[in-house]
Order: sequence, then C-alpha cells, then structure tokens
Amino acid sequence: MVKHVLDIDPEKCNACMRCVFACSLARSGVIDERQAMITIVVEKGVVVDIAVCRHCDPAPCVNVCEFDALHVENGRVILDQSKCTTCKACISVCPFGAIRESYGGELVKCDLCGGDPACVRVCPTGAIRYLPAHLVKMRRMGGATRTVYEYLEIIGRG
Amino acid sequence: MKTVIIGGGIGGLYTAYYLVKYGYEPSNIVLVAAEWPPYSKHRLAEILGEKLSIDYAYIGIYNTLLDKGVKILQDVAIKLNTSNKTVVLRRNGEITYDNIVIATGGKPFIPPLKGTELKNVMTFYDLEDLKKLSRIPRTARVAVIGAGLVGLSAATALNKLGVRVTVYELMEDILPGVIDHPLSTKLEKYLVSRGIKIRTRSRVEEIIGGKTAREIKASGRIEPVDIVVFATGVRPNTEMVRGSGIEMLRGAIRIRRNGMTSIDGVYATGDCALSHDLITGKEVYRPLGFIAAHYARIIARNITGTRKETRGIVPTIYENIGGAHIVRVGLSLKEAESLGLSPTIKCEEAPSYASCTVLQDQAPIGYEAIGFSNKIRNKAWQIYYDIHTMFS
Repeated sequence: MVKHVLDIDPEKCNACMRCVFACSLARSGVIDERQAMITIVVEKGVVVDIAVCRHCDPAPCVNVCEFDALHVENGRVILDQSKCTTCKACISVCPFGAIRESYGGELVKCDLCGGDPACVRVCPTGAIRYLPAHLVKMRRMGGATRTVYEYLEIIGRG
Repeated sequence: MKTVIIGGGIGGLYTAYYLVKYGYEPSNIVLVAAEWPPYSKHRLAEILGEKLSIDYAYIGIYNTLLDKGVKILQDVAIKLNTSNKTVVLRRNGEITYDNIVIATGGKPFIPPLKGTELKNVMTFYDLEDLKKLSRIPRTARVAVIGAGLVGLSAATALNKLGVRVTVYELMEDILPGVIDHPLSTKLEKYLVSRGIKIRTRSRVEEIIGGKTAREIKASGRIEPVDIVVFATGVRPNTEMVRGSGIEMLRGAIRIRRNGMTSIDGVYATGDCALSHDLITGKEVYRPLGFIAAHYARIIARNITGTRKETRGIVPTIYENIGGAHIVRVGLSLKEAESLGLSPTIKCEEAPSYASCTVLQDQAPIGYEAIGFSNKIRNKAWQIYYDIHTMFS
C-alpha cells in the first residue's frame, strides 16, 4: 500500500473547527478541544497553520524518544501510551507542534484514524486532504533553510 | 545469569523493559522497588492543577513486565557487596546477582535552614507530596522555594486552583539553567500577570513558626505563609553503595559510556548517577527522566551481549508553565559557560514568541524558546539535528 499522509493547506481553512471536533470525537467519544490531535492556529484573525502530525519518516519525535513509546508502523508514527512517561522531549523537537498534552499529562498525536482520518471526512474546504506521501510537499517551516524532510534525510540514516 | 535492578523509578523500570525487549529471560530479572506501581513525576503538577485522580500518574508498562514474569520485590536495598556479588535488602535479606543495575534515583534537596522541620514545610517530589498539596484549602498562602521547572510547575498548578502563590528564587532569573535572561524575564512578566508573586534574588533565611510554619524570612523580609514547598533541586540517592568502592564524583555515581560503574558487572543510571554531555563530552549531573531511560537502554544492550556506548546526551526539554510553552534543546548560555565554553547568544522576538540560539564559534550548541500561542512553533528540531551532525 502506498503511504498516505495529511496534506495541509492553511490558506483554504476557514477555522470552522469541524476537524478538531471530529478528531476529538473519533479519539475519545466526546467533543473536547483538549482531546483533539489537531489544532487550528489562528493569529490576529488569520489561520496561519493547522497543527497536526505529518508522519515524518524518519521522525524527530521517534529519534528522540528514549522510552520506546513512539515508532513508525506502516508509514504512520504511532504513540504507545503505556510506555510514555510524559517527559515531553518529543514535543520539544516536533517541527509541526503536532504532539499535545491532554489531561493528566497524557500526550496525544494523530494516528491517521487507522487509514480513514475523521478530519478529512468532515473538512468542507479541502484544507486537509489524505494523499499519497510522494504528492505531499513539505513547506519550509519557520524560515528554515531546508525543508523538514531534507533535514531528516541528512540525519536519519543509521 | 541473574540481573538485579535496584529502583522502581524510570531508570529501573526501563532497564527491565529493554532487557526483556532485547531477549533477556524475564524470570532472571529481579526488580527491587520501594514504591509500586511505578509512576511518572512529570504528571504530578498536571494532576494537581486539574484535580485529577492519581491513577493518571502510573506508567503503563509495569503490567507488561509482570505479565512477562519479571520478579518484583517491594523492598529497599541497604548495602552492596561487590566482592561476593550480593546485595542486602531490608526485608528480603541478602540476594546474589551476576549483573546489578543501581537506579536508586534522587532525593529532594532541602537547604539547611532554621524551620524546615516544621509542619507544613514540604517538597513537591512524590505522590505523597501530591496528595498533601491537593488537600490544601484555596485560601492558603503558599511559598514555593525555587523557580526551576518543578517549582514553577507546582506554582502554576496551585495558581490554577486559586491558591495565592509566591515563588522565591535565589538567582536573578527564574528557570535558571533552563533558559537565559531574555526569555526568563518574559516568562516572569507572564506569570506575574497571572497572579503569581515572584521574588528573584531572594535568599530564604528562615521558616518561622511554633509547630507549624507561619512566616517566611527571605532577604530580610518577613511574609506570612501557610504552606512552604521546597523545590530546590535533587541530589543523588546513593546510600546503598557507600563503602562498595564504586567511584563517585560530587555524591553521584560515575559511569562509563556503556553505563557501567568503575566495577565490572555493576551498572548505574538515572538521578543517582552522572551522565555524559554530547557537546562537551563532560560528565554532568542532570536528573532528567529521559536520560535515565537513555542509559537504561544502553545498559540493557550491554547486558544482553551487544556492546554499545552512548555518544552523550543533548538535552531536549519542553514544559508548559501555566500556558507558556518553554522549549530548550542543547545547552543554555549559562550551562555552556559552566561547562567551560565561551558561548554567545542571539535572540529574536515576535509578538507571541521569542527564541534564542546559543552559539560557540558560530556553531549552534543550544536553542531555547518561549511561546504563548496555541502552537509551539520553533526551530528546536533543526538545532537538535545541527548539534548531532556537528558533534557526532
């Protein structure tokens, strides 16, 4: 199966919050922003980003986790709660602000809903799409000289 | 081959986990833990501030270890005898080992001041402390001594509960050693705006009271107080290795890059031991959970027959301090200086965000940031990789 990831286009997002609510509902059965694994980042009334896991491979969060709590499985970065101690090293190195702290220090991140992401199903504008990974372009983050993937390719081997 | 692990904290727990993962026979592992089930100290402040059940603190993998057949002894090690490879436990007596892993952790440090023995003077370190603090009335006035990560997490959690909090810090800035002056001042301003009183350059001299603490005297100033919480750091807990001949430095166990102490077959990890800094190669005392787990993995590799040495640690820290996101990767300016480097710092600022890069000979060796928006946006990952490229 071809690896699929989320393609994010904040310019198309109208901050309707459907993805956030659908995500929380899919994960925990309730509508609660803090339990969602996706965040719409609004600054001065403008959507500047949709913060959600891009399932990098190799991934900084997986590299940095000393607890074996993050691993790549079928192209998806999966967080195993039972091994996580909430040290939050993964949050410190995530380029996308995609790992968040929920209640009681539980960390949450996108698992792509097992291949049928709830956020994509409800997004009315096409700001979040589920596409084969090779079609998804990584934007340069925070004025970086290289894209995240370029960086990861340099370091990730070995 | 029998491996005895002393300590049920992060270091001990994850040594057992990695041993099992790397194929070591679980029934040959004895884990000696004073507290059981194991929990994460990283979650205590969150549980306090959100009034959650302490069940949130427990770390899930202990069930896996039990299911696999790892032997757990709820006990405390008293004395290590490396010449005949035995360790004396308080309740279970003497047991033998082929390999032993010392993961006895740390203990909270309270400075030797008058009045620290009074009732209502405590630390914020373990589940008992959490239980005590969750019971205090909202009208209480709390003095938190020490503005490090633990102190500020406790202060913001209590502030969330509506408790009046004053933080006393000896140094001129809060979060000393974690972030540097330009960012500390921003955090301080933010916390003050949230209603937390902060007294920097304030030396606590005495806790005053009869049986119970009533006042605190700091830098000559006396203020009323109902609870005093010391968050003044952690020291290695190494009593059991006293007289064993294991090499120590400043009270902590020295380890080699494979996690072994100066004596073959004896390993150590976590808050009882030193670790290696990747950038300078120096031995440092950094009582952080992920470092304990880092060496746990290395030790498990070596015990299961794969020779492995650490290249050293690049600190990777994130904390949410009452809504302020703090990120630190690599060395801070102050830490770099204390390790003998002559670094410079370059800072930039946006309305909801500020960051500094610490440089040595133009090369980044550290990055720190503070953010107030709902997204943690930073270049920490780049600097993390730059450091690894440059120093590995």
